[in-house]
Amino acid sequence: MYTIVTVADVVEIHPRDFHKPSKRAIEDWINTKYADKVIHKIGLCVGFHSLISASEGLIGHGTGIVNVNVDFRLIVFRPFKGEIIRGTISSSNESGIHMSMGFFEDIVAPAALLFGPSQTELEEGGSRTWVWKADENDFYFDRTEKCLMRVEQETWTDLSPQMKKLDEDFDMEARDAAGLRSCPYRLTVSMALTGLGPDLWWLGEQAEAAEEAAKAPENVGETNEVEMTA
Amino acid sequence: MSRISNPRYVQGLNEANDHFIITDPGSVMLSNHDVMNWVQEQKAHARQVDEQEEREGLTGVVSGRPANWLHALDKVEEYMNRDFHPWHNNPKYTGRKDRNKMYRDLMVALDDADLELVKTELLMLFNTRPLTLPVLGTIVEEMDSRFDEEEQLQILEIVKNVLGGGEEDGDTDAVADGEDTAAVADGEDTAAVADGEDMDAVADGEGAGPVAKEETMHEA
Repeated sequence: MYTIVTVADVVEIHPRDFHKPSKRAIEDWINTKYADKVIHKIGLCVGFHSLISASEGLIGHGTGIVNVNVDFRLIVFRPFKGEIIRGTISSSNESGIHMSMGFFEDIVAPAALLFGPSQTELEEGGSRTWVWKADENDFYFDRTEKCLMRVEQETWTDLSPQMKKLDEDFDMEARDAAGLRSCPYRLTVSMALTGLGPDLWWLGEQAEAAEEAAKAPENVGETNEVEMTA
Repeated sequence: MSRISNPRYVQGLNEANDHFIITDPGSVMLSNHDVMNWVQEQKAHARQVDEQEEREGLTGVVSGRPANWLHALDKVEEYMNRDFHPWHNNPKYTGRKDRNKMYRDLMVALDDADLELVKTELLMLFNTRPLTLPVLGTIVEEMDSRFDEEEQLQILEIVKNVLGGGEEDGDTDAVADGEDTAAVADGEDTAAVADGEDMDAVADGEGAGPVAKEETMHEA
């Protein structure tokens, strides 16, 4: 899930930070800029890993800021396509299930990538739960269940001001067709193979029924339609 | 040029002045275990340095740590502390000086048994530690055409020997079915790896014996 990314950047050390040991000043600057943020088409940065090299500081005109050319490594979260990762179900809606890993929440399992045939059920309180109707058994995609999921696709959205279309405004509350907010990095996952989905399903007595249903030809390749059942 | 955006609050950075270049977009894969250790070390080191500064009366002089960095570390640590990871409650993961040894042991054991898995599959085995065939099937692509059932069980066996099997460390995920009874007394235990592990347990003077038994004694 994690990888090491090498970056070259120009670190700015402000006069107020001159008392800091250089290494610390550089590290702090890098962490402030990159930690917990998404780099477009690279991944979600966790933090500064190590320094490769740093040039001598060059003082800019007028500001007294020291610019240092730095080569360094970052630890970045970016699962590869086909990777099996663990998360929990955080919420469901008509178009699919939202998964969470705590440090990363923009994970979606759309209806089409769930075990077929599945449908939603309307629970009390208005929330939905997806249910896999496998032969005679019902398998529930309950909230907070720990699941295994398979990474199918990455979606990158460049949210920087430069990429803003002239006639649109960035409405951060706007949702796209799937009811999802615009976010810089989104993972689309599937839970449609034997072994994926909530751990519970594959343990105990129901495991065999689940395995049978997962392989049954009539269940494979069925599109999941949204039905409202009260 | 790449762009940075904060997943929670999107603020434009001063793009015109943003000069950074990605010289390597990620060619080295780290295991979850590597990252967990790294996060723990970062936090411990930061704490140590902060305490040192306090002792020297420098608190507030060297400014505090970036809040987003601390947040990222906390969140990743929280994820790594969840009970579905192989190291949770697992004696095989404690006190090891050479962290990469387990990964190498896994690789060697699979190689010795002529079970060919690609690098990404090995990493996933190490991260997820499958204990049952359904989960193994998610990791190993086209499992049924590459390995027959005996070989599949062999892979599970090796994973259990090297990474710890679940029952002895109180994992509720452990499945008490036919696969596990293949565990203890058969030829797999004499694999070089398993012996290596046992040496550590035996050092306490518990005496030789089948793998699972030793680990339960060690646990106690």
